[in-house]
Amino acid sequence: MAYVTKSPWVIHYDGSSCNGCDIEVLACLTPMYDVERFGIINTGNPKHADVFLVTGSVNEQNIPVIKQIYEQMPEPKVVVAVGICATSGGVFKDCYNTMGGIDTVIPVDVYVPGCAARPEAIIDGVVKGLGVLGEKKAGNYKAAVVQADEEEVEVQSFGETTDDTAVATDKEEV
Amino acid sequence: MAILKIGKTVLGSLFNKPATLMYPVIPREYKELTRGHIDIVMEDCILCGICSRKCPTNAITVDRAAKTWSIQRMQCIQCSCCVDVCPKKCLTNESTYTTPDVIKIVDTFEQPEKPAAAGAATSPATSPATADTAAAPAPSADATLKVNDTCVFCTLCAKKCPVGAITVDREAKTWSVDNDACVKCGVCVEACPKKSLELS
Repeated sequence: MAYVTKSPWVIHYDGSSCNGCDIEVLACLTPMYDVERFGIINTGNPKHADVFLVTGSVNEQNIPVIKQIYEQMPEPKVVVAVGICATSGGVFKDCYNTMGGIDTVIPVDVYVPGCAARPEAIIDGVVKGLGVLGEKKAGNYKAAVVQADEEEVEVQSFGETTDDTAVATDKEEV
Repeated sequence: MAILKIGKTVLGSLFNKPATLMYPVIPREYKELTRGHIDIVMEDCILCGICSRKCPTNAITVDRAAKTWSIQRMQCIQCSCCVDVCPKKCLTNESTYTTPDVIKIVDTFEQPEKPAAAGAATSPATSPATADTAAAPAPSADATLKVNDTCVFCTLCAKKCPVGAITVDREAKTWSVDNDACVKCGVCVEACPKKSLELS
């Protein structure tokens, strides 16, 4: 957790949702919850960010935006899907324009449940994400995944494949 | 006068507690009605599957063959719809939250073996809060659905049946139930406008 001492900065993006989780993320930054006391700053620049907080589901229009923010973030980086829409699509899952959760576009490291996700849950999720970030920094994240149960391995490999396809589709666009 | 105003604020800031909740150090206490996560009492569950059909996000899966009830925690929006529609009132919305995780958590509950049926029969009587379930028939698993001659073949029972076990033919004036498919949930008995259905 040595990495955590270096003030992780977050970037927040709200996809297509009711904005409930969006407001809860901002509530974390108010004096009531005050995540800035841990050195966490909500930055507007992906190149300064370590943690990508995504709220809301993915639709056709915001796929390139999410991919671009993700690709602009320097390694190591962590994606935290906040709220049920971001984790699985929620009530918008079956909409014609909705892809589902964020993990359909970019690999997600931590899922934060809740509709809307509570500020406490978001803080817990970011703290969990920082653990993953520390492991990624140390370069033993893969080892940690292999040690875990089968389900986790499946999720990780799924994330990698979506990343590859994401890059592939980007090349096609270019 | 301005000094008095700012002095009040300064004194208040000196002696009042800080506005910050200091969350990870001091754990948050949730109110009783907080919608945290769905919990189930498997002893009372009859695996009728109404909860999984009504769930707006398809988070609940009921497997009648394997006798399991499972919920995808990262898909449930805590709307309490399943709690409201459950005919046996075996679902509850607890105030504690599912903790964030690196995987999509799926919680599966297995139905215990039969001796639990006695506990299921006595629980509505002991708790006064579940007056609705106490008033509704609490049939055992081997009860059968019966219709008497006051039936007007309105088909409401067939429409309400969660498993489609009831067939009503208005033309031929016949009413039949598939006893193998029937889950004995009692929804049809409550829905019947002529009170001509009975689980016994």
